[in-house]
Amino acid sequence: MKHRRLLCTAAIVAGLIAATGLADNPSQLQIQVRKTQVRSAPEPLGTVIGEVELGEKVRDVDGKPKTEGWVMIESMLRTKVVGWIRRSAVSPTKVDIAAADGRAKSVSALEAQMAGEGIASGERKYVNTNNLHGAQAQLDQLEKNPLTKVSVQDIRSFVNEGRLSQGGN
Amino acid sequence: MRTISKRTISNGLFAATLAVIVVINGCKSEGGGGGFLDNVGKVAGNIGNTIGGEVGTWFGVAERLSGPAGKALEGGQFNDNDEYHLGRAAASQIIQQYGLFKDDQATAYLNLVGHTLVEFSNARATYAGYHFAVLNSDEVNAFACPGAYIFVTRGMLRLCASEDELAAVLAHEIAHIDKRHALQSIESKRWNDLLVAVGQEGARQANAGPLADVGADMAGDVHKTLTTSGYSQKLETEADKESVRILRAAGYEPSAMVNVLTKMDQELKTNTGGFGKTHPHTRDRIDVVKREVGNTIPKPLVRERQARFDRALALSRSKG
Repeated sequence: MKHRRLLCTAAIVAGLIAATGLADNPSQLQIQVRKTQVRSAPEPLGTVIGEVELGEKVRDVDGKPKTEGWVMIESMLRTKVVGWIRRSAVSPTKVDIAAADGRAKSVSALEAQMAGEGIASGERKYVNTNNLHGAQAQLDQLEKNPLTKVSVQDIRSFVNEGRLSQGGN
Repeated sequence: MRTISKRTISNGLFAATLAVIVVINGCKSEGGGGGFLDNVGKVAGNIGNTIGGEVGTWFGVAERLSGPAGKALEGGQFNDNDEYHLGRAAASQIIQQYGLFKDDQATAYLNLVGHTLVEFSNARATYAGYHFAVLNSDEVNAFACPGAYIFVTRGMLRLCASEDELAAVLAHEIAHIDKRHALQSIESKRWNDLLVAVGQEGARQANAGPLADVGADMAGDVHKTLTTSGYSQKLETEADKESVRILRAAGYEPSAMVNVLTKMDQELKTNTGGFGKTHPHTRDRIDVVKREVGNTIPKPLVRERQARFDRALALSRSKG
């Protein structure tokens, strides 16, 4: 009886220590797209309050998605920003390898990056083989073309002008 | 008496240990917010998430893909950056084949309509964002390359009679991007090759030879699907259903999708090239979309929307 109680106590204590240890390392996420906007609310046309960039580590603030497709994060890299981003813009970090510029890379991210180099080489190989250099240059211009960059404010004006209603017909 | 005494000691130890943990955590959380109970709550929440099926959803839609593509995504062997480069290769070939049509007004307008749909669609974020452009071709067609490059031909712009119909075309292409349909067109063999190449020490060197070969082959598969063989009926239907949802969410008339498909069906009777090559089952698709739209009475065209459509696409929709 006494042994069982001691065992129970030990198990509970061990569990609590493990639990608090996990919580002291709250969910770290890493931005996996070039840039994404931080919104004040998890909804279309939500006010943009900041921006996070590729490789930046952010903290999953509440650990539980309250709105499908969005995650509430805290960014600490430049200035502290707390807000919502698309969940698809982040991946979980695993073993952190601190980088000098304040960003972090995980083992999985490094592996993925290595594979990415390979596929990037695949793009070069495909372009070379099919002699697509001119077309690739046009694609580069398209990516940089400011006409393809549309802000939330632009969309808001466009929606109002065209009498498009949020939430549908 | 002895037993009681030991139990008391045991309880005391438990309480003392708890107190120590509380103190330790209290110190740790100082200035950082969230005390011991908060942390326990967070842990419980995390465990709840895991049990609730959150694991595996971090890569956006990886869980929606089955087979080797899904495994490569979930395993981290293929990520958004890879998809971006794959898409750039396929998009470059499409530009080479059709040529971009330089019309700033149309490009700006197309991107406004497209980004509005993306905003309301809840579509996944992509590595470099979404880009929309006009192709200089009379062929009635539209393409969605991985990495979110969406191209619409001048022929397709002419087929569309309103912003709502153009939105239907773009929503369909956005759905293909969101659901990573192009990745499913890659031959299974390539995914196996990718796993082998990633595992090879040689691939970790700067030349990345085996991976480059796999990447180039994948790009070839995607280009072939987009321009020649087309998606399966199942994937087209999935994109059609999703496009109706996106149109509704953004406030566009969902029956515009029926209009576009009906016109395409007419087009197929006289022209089997272009769109006809890659979209052979239009009648079936019309039936599916009609069911999705339901029996709602279509709203009349909005004057402001029609005016900007006519104005912005005047050059691109013109003959010659």
